[in-house]
Amino acid sequence: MSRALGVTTVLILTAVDRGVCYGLDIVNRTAMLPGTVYTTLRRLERRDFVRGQWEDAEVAEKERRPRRRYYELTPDGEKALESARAHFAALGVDVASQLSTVGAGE
Amino acid sequence: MLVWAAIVVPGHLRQDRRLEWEAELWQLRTADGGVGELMHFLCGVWLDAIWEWKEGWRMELLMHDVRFAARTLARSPGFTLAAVLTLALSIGASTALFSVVDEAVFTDPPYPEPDRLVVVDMLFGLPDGEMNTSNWSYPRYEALREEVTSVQELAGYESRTMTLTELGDPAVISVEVSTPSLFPLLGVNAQRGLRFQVIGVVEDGYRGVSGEAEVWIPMSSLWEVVEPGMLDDAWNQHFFVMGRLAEGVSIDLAQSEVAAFGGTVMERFPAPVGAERLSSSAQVVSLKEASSNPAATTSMWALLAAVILVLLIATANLAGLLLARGATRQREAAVRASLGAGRARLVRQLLTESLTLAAIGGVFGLALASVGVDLLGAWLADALGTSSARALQAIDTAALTIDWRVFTFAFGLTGGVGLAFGLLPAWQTSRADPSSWLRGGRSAIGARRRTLGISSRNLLMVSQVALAVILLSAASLMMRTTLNLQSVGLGFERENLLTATYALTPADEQSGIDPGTFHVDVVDRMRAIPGVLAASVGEVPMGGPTWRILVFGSEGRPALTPAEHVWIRIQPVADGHMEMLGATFIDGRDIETTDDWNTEKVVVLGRTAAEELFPDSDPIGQKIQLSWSGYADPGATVVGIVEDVQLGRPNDPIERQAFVPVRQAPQLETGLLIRTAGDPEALIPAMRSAMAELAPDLAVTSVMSMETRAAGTTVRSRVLTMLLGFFGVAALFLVAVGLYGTIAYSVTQRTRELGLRASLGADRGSLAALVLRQGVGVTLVGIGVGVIGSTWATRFLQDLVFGTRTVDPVGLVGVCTILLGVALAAAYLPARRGTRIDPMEALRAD
Repeated sequence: MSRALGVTTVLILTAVDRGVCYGLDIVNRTAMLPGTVYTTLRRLERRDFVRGQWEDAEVAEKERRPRRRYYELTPDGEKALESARAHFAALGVDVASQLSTVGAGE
Repeated sequence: MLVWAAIVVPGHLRQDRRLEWEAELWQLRTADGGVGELMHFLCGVWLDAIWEWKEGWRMELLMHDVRFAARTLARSPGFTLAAVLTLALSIGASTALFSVVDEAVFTDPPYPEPDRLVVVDMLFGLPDGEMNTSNWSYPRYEALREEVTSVQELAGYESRTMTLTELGDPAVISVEVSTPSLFPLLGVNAQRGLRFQVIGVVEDGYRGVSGEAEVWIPMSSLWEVVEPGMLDDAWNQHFFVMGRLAEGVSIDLAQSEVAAFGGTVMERFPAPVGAERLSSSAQVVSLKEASSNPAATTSMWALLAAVILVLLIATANLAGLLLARGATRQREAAVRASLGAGRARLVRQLLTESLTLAAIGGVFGLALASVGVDLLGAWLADALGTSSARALQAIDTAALTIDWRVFTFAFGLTGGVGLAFGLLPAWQTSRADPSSWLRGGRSAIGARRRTLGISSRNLLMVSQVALAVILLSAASLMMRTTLNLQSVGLGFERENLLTATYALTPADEQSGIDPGTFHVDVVDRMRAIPGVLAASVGEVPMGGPTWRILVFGSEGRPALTPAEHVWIRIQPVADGHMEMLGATFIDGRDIETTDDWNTEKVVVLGRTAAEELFPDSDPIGQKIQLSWSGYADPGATVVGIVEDVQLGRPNDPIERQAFVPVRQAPQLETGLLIRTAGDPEALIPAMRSAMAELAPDLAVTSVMSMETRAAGTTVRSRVLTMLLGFFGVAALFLVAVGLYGTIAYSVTQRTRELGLRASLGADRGSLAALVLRQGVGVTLVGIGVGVIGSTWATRFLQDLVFGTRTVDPVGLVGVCTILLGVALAAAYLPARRGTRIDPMEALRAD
């Protein structure tokens, strides 16, 4: 771990960790602006903390909607999230509590 | 929206991103989000796209590009040096000029709350007629201060040159005479100011409203000591008034109050003889407007435009050079492309090269500008004329700096130039089809390149020629203006004429000196100096002092109604004045020694005045009534008519004018004119010592030859001619180099074709014609476009030209001929080489 992760990043990592997520879902759960979420996701993808994958075409077909791109944590991401959590816990901040459950359906 | 955003994203990610956004947009729509959410989403998408784009330009890659560009540029030092030098000079010159324009046009006067500063003008005119701006006298100024509430902190000021006599040699200094309220109004600190012994110390670098002052003198103390009586004389008017709009008062409201005050001046202060027919008013003008000087501003814009034209030509030129280089680097590009470099990668590499060039040029340019702005800026501000009618300075030369606005300008210019001359070659090169390059070698591509490369090179040449035509036609306009100004008939001989001004004071008059007799004594002493052919007093053309009075009756048409009164410019002169001037007599006689205080009042009229006042009869022997002491009733007899004399600057309209004998109409202030046999300025010491014998303490000011004076009035157009001419020559040189390069390049490209033609029997003449035709064709198209462009562009010079219209066919033909000549010369050298091609060698090549 070279750099400590910021609150935003940790929040998004946490969101991804709690279930398979796609962009808009993260936006709704974290109540952050789409611009922040997307660019953070791209950055995390480049650092190999999350991996984006297209959902199966069949699922999308069944639900009559375009295919979504889901993100999941990589082992590196899990490690980073864990150490970041420890870091924040040491500071007495519970990042995860900021996650809203509103709109966390499906 | 999504599609546009996707374009920004680097290619390999584009499809993924677009699908992802579409899916989410669908989601958002079905969830029935509000407009706000949709906007947020779209903004998010754009941020996403831009972030990806930025990531595409990874720093290491960029550094790699820059290093590669530096290596490439270092490999052809001649090209790089020429390019950097051209760019540095033109960017530097544009930036320096922009800083002047910036200061003159965009910057507020350097005083606190400049928006509220106003100049208050006194107005006089004929009832129902045009009002002329006039100056303030102390009593009127006092009344204004007391009564007008919408303009506060009023202050009076005037600029003068004065002679220091008690500290050794008399020295002429620039003095600003002002009321004590001027400094607080302008927020300038005056330190150690003594109340009566005058001299305080103001902030270093402050040169006053006129920008020239060295010494400040409180108005009251000056006049109490030097010119007593002036403080009480309501009609001794010679200073300007400035003030600050009261809090929350609009300029219109202030205008109505000030105009009402101005209207009462005539009743309140009984007017001297003649002036009682005038009506009065006053006006408020914002300081910014009052200090504007349209001709100076226009000339600065013109110069800036000219420099930018040169920059554009240089840019087109560099684009042409890079294009030629691009052609030779086609193989390199093809190799890189075949090794997997995308087109974007190639374009980026080439753009990095051109931007690197531009950046080096820009840095040097900015350095040049920061040095040049002090020299050039101050010089230009002086040369182009900065003082406006109210003795306000338009440009504070001390404040010329490279501020953020100038920096932004230079930065934008550099970036724009770099992109402009890099984009076309980059695009051309990136079109290289690797397979055909690697397979076919040179000739296959040669054929392909000709259609693309040459046509865009031709386009570049056409634009260079067109821009040069515009630049040169502007230069030719200014040259004609200067020539016209220098050769226009002024109605008098301007050679070998020494001029000066001096003024007696009311104190002199009170001590028994009669101004008329004094002036005649001065003239007699001057005539006694060896080398002096003739001498007189009177108005110095382009130098004053000036009186304008009313003609309100003439024998042919007595009792003119007030609306028929006309202004006439009048001057008391010594005997033989017309002969001394070299004015042309139309009829009658000169002013003579016998025209004395006790003889009949006489007047010599200028042609315009004579024709207007006596349209149907011979004016000689008839009387006119003038609103001047002694000339009102029964009036003065017209004894002579001369061709009009230009009393203002050469391009001013000719005024109605009258000359009266100095003994009959003595004034304290006058000009002194001395016709000499040789160099007039050589007689200055003799003139000064003759004056000193007569009146040791009298300050003789503004001593210079008429030629110098006239040169001063044409300095703006001469400087413009010189600079525009210089830019024009630079443009011609660039065009010649560009054309030479283009033709030489095409000859190289067409070696095989020319060789083939030669082997089939084409003679040298027809081969040369073939090559020349291309150069001439390009030039002619460029000239056509340029002529159209210049008829549009030169309209903006309207304020500056004199004696010619802004579309000047003769000048345009001259410009086109010069350009065509240069083009032919530039095309001839490579054309000759084309004719020397050995057919066998050309066909054997490749």
